Amino acid sequence: MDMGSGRGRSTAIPYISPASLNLTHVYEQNRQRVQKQDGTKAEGGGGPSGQGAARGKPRLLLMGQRRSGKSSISSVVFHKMPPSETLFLESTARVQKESMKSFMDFHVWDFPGQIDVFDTPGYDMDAIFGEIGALIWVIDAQDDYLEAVARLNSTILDLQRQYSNINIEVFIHKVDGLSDDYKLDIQRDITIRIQDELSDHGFENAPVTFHLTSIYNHSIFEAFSKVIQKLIPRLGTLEAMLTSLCRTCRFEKAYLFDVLSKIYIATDSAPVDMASYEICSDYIDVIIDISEVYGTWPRSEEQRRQLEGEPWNMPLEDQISTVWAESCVVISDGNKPIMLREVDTYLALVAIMKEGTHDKMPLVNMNVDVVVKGLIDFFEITKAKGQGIGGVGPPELGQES
Amino acid sequence: MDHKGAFSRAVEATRKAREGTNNSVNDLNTGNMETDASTVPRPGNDTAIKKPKKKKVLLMGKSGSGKSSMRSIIFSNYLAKDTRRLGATIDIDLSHVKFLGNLTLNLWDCGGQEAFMENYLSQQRVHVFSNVGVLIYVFDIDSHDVERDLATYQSILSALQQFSPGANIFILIHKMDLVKPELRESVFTERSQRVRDKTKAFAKSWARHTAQVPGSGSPNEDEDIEIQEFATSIWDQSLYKAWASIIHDLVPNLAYIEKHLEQLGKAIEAEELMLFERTSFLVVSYWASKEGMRNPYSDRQERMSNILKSWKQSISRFSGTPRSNEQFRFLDFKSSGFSVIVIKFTINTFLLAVLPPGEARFNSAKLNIEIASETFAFLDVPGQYAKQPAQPTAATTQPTATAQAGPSTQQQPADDDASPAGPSTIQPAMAGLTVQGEPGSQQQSASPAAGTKSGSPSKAAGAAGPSSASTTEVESATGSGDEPQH
Repeated sequence: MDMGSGRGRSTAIPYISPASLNLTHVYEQNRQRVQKQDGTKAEGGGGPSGQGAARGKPRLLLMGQRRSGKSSISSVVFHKMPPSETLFLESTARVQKESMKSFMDFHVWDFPGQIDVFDTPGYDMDAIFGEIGALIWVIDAQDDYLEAVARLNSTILDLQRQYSNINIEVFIHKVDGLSDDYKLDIQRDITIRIQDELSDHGFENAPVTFHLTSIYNHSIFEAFSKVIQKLIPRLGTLEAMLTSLCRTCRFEKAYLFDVLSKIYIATDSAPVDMASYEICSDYIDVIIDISEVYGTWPRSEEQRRQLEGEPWNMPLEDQISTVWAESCVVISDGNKPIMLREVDTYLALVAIMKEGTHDKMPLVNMNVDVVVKGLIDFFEITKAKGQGIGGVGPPELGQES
Repeated sequence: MDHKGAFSRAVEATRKAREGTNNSVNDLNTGNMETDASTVPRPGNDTAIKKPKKKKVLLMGKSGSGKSSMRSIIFSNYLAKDTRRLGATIDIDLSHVKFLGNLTLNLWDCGGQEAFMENYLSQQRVHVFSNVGVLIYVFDIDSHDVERDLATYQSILSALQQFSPGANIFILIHKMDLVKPELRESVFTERSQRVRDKTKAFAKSWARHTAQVPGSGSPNEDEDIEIQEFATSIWDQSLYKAWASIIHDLVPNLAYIEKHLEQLGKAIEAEELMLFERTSFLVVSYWASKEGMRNPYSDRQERMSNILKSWKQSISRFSGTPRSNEQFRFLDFKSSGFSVIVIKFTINTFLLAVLPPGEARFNSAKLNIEIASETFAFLDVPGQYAKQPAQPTAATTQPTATAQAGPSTQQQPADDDASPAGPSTIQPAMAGLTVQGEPGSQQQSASPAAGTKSGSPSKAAGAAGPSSASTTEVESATGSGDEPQH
């Protein structure tokens, strides 16, 4: 799997620590202004901001025809907007840049559909595609998609020449309401059109992936999960850790979730099925909702004194076993438990357990504790590497296992 | 405790997203909160557990106002969007909803087209309006002809006063989701004031009418007719709020349930307890400690109903079993700020307990709840338990026996070493539950005692119990955890 978000960068650029979001935006604007005024490439002078932002922050570009659903996607996935309310979204007039504070900070750039960045002068291609994580091309499956496919083709060809390491993710969107056969037909048709065009121009095995998506079900989160996973350095190690946890605790399936966006950033080696992803994702919702009602208001000092007094005689902090939230639910059908454990500020581990293993919970919890520690170490280490090596991009990786 | 985990962070983000646009209709109903909570237990209800009863509930209102939709959501596990499939109700749709085992609701969903309405008021007048326990009248907020709605409402009232003068009347101002969030409060107040005025005017004329003709109908001393208004929408939890209040007064043995819930709550140091009916997930009874009352979320009862019910439907999609099935029997959540247990309590109920943080407190509360469920078992089989409260001593000995067996059969390693402490913990708590008028001090000290002896909060102590084979598994997990360091 190709991980190299910054591969091929040869110019040595002074390292700037991932500055605050505001700062990055200011830099970004300044650079664009400089660019406009001077008509020169701001690569050398103004570059650092771009690099600083990109080092730890891969960029997701959302592109496609107008009204194909780009802004809806980013609102639903990153802003928790209910899908029904996306009907009222205005059309996007200029590039919307947003920074997602998450387990890894990434930028989402929402491009207006009516602008073709390759035809319109004034766009700095290096600034857009230079430090890209992935290009997400949205195609409206309920519309005539030939034009969209043609534009996508020319985009891919342009990109392949200069930035051949960009992952191109095609979202065949709005497939809710289409029959399963029809969905697959469309996917096949689009795939063939694109592959043919590419091989005509001599590009074999271009990194183009196709996803069937809709904002009205979990498929959009699933697709985003796959996109994000490609950007995670050493994903193989993460997966190996989860797989080993599943083996020792006899879990059926384990997911590592980004709680806010409900994207899963890693899972064990067992095949992913929609149903298990959905239940885990809904479980996270339940926990968020309960936490909102009971976890957000401060308890009185009086209550605290009472709880720490006789007969406990212990500060409240010592009475709890872990500061991280944990939860378990037992499903009646087959007596199957699902467990959930907070990993850090952004992530949670959710696992579907074997039937009738609820009474083994303490042991399972111990195992999970160890893996969670490992996960935290993992993110520490990968983060340090990404930042430590200034100009050189993160090393190219093979699969660990 | 300023620790910030993934969930507290996510909660903040969701709240921000919700602010402004998505104000739930429910905020309007907070005024009614006080009256619900302070319902005074009726005297004489305490010792005598009532026999099964049937209650006739009339669901009326203009055609298309959403009567059948709300009924399907509350009692038939429909999702809000599924109600689009429902057609117009023809004549009267009669359904018997078994609620809490010994209470059956005879739900008369009356089709609201004018021809039917006239029919109810003329030919079927006696049939429809006699022996009514509750009238639920639904007003569509989007209605074009409010005067006409009110006129129909008045004729219904008149028929009701004639045949069932004691019936409770609930007014649901429905489809509030169609009103802009910022206008909801004023629109609701305005509309309910009109209904109130109409009711008052009717009550006056009715009182005059009965005074003139002494023999007709039953005499109505006070001329006021009491109504309760709710703003509802099927798209948020406001519907649960309204229906929970409606069924609240119908639940038999409510005082008994409330009293024992309070004792249980105190014994396990809970902040809050909610007792849910199993199919509808409506709150049957509720108790909160002084601390729990401080919770700023006044709509938490219906929020929990809504959350748990949609969770049930999620599980149904996962397991492929019908939505009416039980779906889950246990849910816990432990964080540094609070713990929650949702547990299948009796056959017909679920119990939600919110506890202060603490591993030992959580575990002993869980055991205590399991044992306390015996006391509430009469909710399922009324006949069998009907006589029990008369002999409290008999009731006490039985659960104590279970208590001793309890912890050892649980197979929970965390409680293994606690088994000597277990029964002594539970026994007084249990006694407090069944023996009436027991002083609270005994329970207070008894329940946490388990914690001091058994409940070392670290899990390591809890997991020390399992066999050596399992320890090697832990070892291997450690290995994988270290992997990235190589």
